[in-house]
Amino acid sequence: MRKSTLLSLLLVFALLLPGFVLAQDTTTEEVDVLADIIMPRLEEYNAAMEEAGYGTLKLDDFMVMLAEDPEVVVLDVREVAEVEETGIIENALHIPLRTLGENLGLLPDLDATIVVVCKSGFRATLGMTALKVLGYDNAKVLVGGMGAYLAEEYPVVEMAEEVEAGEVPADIDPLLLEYVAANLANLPEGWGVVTPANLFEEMFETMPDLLLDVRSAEEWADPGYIEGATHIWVNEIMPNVAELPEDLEANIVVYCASGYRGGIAMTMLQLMGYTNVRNLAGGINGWIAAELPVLKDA
Amino acid sequence: MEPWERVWIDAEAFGEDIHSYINCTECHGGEAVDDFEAAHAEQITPVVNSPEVCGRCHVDNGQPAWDSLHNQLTGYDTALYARSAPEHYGTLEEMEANHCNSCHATCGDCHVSQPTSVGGGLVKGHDFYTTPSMSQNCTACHGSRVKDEYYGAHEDISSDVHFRARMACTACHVADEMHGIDMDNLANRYDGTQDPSCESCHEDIQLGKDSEIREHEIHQPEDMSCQVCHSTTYINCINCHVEQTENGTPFFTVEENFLGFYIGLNPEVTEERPYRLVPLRHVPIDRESFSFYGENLLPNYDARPTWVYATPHNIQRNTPQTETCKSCHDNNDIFLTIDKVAEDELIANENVIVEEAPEW
Ligand code: HEC
Ligand code: HEC
Ligand code: HEC
Ligand code: HEC
Ligand code: HEC
Ligand code: HEC
Ligand code: HEC
Ligand code: HEC
Repeated sequence: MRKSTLLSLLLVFALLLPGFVLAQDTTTEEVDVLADIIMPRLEEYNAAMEEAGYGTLKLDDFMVMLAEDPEVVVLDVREVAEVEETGIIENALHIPLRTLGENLGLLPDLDATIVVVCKSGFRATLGMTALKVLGYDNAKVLVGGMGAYLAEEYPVVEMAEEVEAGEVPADIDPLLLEYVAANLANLPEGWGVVTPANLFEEMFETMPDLLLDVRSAEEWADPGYIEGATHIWVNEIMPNVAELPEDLEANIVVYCASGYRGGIAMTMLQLMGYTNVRNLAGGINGWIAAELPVLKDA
Repeated sequence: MEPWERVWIDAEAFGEDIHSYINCTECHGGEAVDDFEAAHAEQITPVVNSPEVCGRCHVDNGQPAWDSLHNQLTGYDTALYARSAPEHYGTLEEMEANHCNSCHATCGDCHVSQPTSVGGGLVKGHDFYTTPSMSQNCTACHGSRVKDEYYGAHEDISSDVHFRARMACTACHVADEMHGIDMDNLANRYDGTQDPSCESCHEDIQLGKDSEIREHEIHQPEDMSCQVCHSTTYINCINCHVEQTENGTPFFTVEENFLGFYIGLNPEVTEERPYRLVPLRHVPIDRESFSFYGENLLPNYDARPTWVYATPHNIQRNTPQTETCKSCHDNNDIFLTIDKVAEDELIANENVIVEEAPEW
């Protein structure tokens, strides 16, 4: 069965991840991490998506939230140098994305409202998805990121708050956490961004093994799709894992309308073990804005 | 909000609320029986929210809040009746009953549910919360004008500096003001003390005192309100008309909104508001506003200005006015001079029109 090959490959991959520590003597249990923990958790998360929404938060709504609710946690996942350059939102926590998994002790409880911000929203989407998979149901991503925030000249302070680390919430399965943390720690250079122009250029040479369109059927129909794409709505990825490539090193590019659902799908695929996943920056909107061709079914 | 969410009672949250010890029927009426029709036979919402129900226990807030501008809408009455004549009061009341009921704020509109103007709906599963929600309570009623200004919804106009400093409405509009405590017999929102005043927080700022800011030092407290320099373009409305659809649903239309910033004379200089000049906002009333309900209902239309005292919620440190001294001095454009007032409204506004800008 395909699923079992997938899982054993996942295991191999997992063991390759630095920082992924598993007990040496329980080979059978190692398989369980993926089959019994990761996959079911992704299925659960994916199934709840319809009702819970994707977690995108527009700047205007974010500002209202900040004024209204002093408990909101702003989590800035940019790199240290970026924060030094632009400053940071007052009272925000600063945890660079790759180290997020190791620093959950800095976050409050699982039910807290956590708004993840980065420069454009791309990385924050990955961070938000990881948090949601861990059980932070109210994690959100600031659409447009600090770019949008600063464009409105909203205030920043020079440095992030120093916070004392507390306990990691007991409800998070330690094996799940270790796996997700390793995944974040190993995010590729460049974060898996591919720009429309670069992808288009690449596609002349080699098509990705999978060009995955995760928008809804309505969006696929109008404004159309990129030639060669496969359609699986982001809400229905887990029921359709059979359509994903067997090779975990397959070249996968994901896209949605503007990049957020693509980021969610990318993180899910990475957690399933795929090592070569990228997300089209700006989604098909960016693609269309770059005047690249789309197809429409008659 | 989904329809079910509006009426969904969160047993856990409400169970921990002290008010869950009171029977539903004590507040809502109706009957506690297992039958929809019978249970809801009496009027159930909007809640029986008279001072008897809440005020039985909340003696401090109950009655004052009941008498507050929020509940009584005295401000509207003041503005309407002064322009009308006693023989029309009955007709105006009928009109108000049709068009203004959803504006009367009940206790629940700030502490339990969204106001009926946006279709109601429990905010926290029927939990009673102390601090009203800016987005689900306050701006549900104070939507188009205050909200848009405060959030910076108008293109090219920035949000209020206090919004940017993460202040919600209730940072400035506190319990006593909202409950109308010590605010008896106010004719409208600008009657009596400024509540809040800018100086209540910015204690060290007073015009005419030594200051590093020249504008603050040179001008006197009687010259103008803080907003003359620190607020910017706001919305003005023209020609509001109330009507009913064919099947009797009340509605209103506002013919035109326009953005602008106009400094004019303070129509009522008082000890609490000593300013000669203030920003003025055009309010959407005209002679025919209520003609759906009868002819010439506003015979004293000219008794009050249509350009009224305003305190826009778009405070900025830097505004076009603060750019140079000559944004005001010698600059008629920014003042409500006679050419900016509609012909038909000249008499109504004669007390607020500025002859010309202060000289340089
Ligand atoms: C039988 C007495 C009683 C009645 C009737 C009552 N309350 Fe209360 N209410 C209380 C008590 C007791 C508290 C808790 C006060 C405290 O903790 O200091 C409270 C607290 C509150 C609070 C603060 C938030 C909270 O839940 O602690 C609000 C707001 C409130 N009540 C609004 C109302 C409104 C609105 C009504 C009418 C619809 C009402 N109450 C009717 C007794 C009552
Ligand atoms: C149900 C609708 C409604 C809700 C909810 C509401 N308001 Fe009002 N508010 C009004 C109306 C109508 C008036 C005008 C009363 C008048 O002028 O007679 C008013 C007047 C005011 C005034 C001037 C009069 C005064 O009492 O100071 C302020 C300030 C104000 N509202 C702020 C707020 C804030 C802050 C909130 C949220 C905590 C809020 N309002 C919630 C409808 C509402
Ligand atoms: C226009 C909005 C508004 C209305 C209407 C209103 N309140 Fe309040 N209420 C407030 C605000 C604002 C606070 C203060 C919140 C804070 O301090 O965080 C408050 C606080 C309270 C509190 C907490 C104790 C206190 O005084 O600080 C109680 C109890 C309360 N209100 C009861 C009532 C009752 C009873 C009514 C109706 C008779 C009512 N409120 C109507 C806005 C309102
Ligand atoms: C202390 C008084 C009080 C008690 C007790 C109370 N309610 Fe309410 N309820 C309110 C207030 C106040 C509102 C807000 C609506 C308003 O102000 O008109 C409200 C709103 C509601 C609404 C939403 C109405 C809408 O369309 O927005 C429902 C449904 C409701 N109550 C049901 C119940 C039920 C069922 C119980 C008993 C379990 C109950 N209430 C107990 C005061 C009360
Ligand atoms: C920085 C303080 C501050 C904040 C925050 C604030 N206001 Fe005000 N508000 C004022 C002042 C000052 C006045 C004028 C009071 C006076 O002159 O008596 C006022 C007056 C009002 C009035 C009556 C005048 C009018 O324009 O109708 C309303 C209504 C009002 N505020 C609603 C709101 C709402 C709704 C919010 C939140 C979205 C809010 N305010 C936030 C300071 C504030
Ligand atoms: C409830 C208290 C409160 C009230 C009332 C209030 N302010 Fe403020 N104001 C603040 C706070 C807090 C800040 C943010 C301070 C900071 O960031 O330095 C602020 C900031 C400002 C700033 C920007 C200052 C800067 O350094 O950039 C201006 C200008 C200002 N307020 C003007 C006003 C005016 C005009 C009014 C009356 C309409 C007013 N404020 C009413 C609390 C208040
Ligand atoms: C004649 C115009 C004018 C008036 C009237 C005025 N201001 Fe200012 N205000 C200024 C200017 C100009 C600045 C400096 C802006 C800058 O930094 O370039 C300023 C700065 C400020 C600041 C920020 C600087 C600081 O010292 O913290 C606050 C707060 C402020 N004003 C509050 C008020 C208040 C409150 C009132 C009413 C009592 C008021 N202003 C009236 C022109 C005015
Ligand atoms: C927002 C408009 C505005 C700005 C900006 C402004 N002024 Fe004024 N100024 C006035 C008004 C209004 C008066 C009062 C004159 C009147 O009432 O006719 C006044 C009066 C004066 C007076 C007479 C003293 C007094 O209190 O009557 C002097 C001097 C003056 N201004 C200088 C300046 C200087 C210098 C600047 C720039 C640093 C400046 N003004 C900026 C509006 C402004």
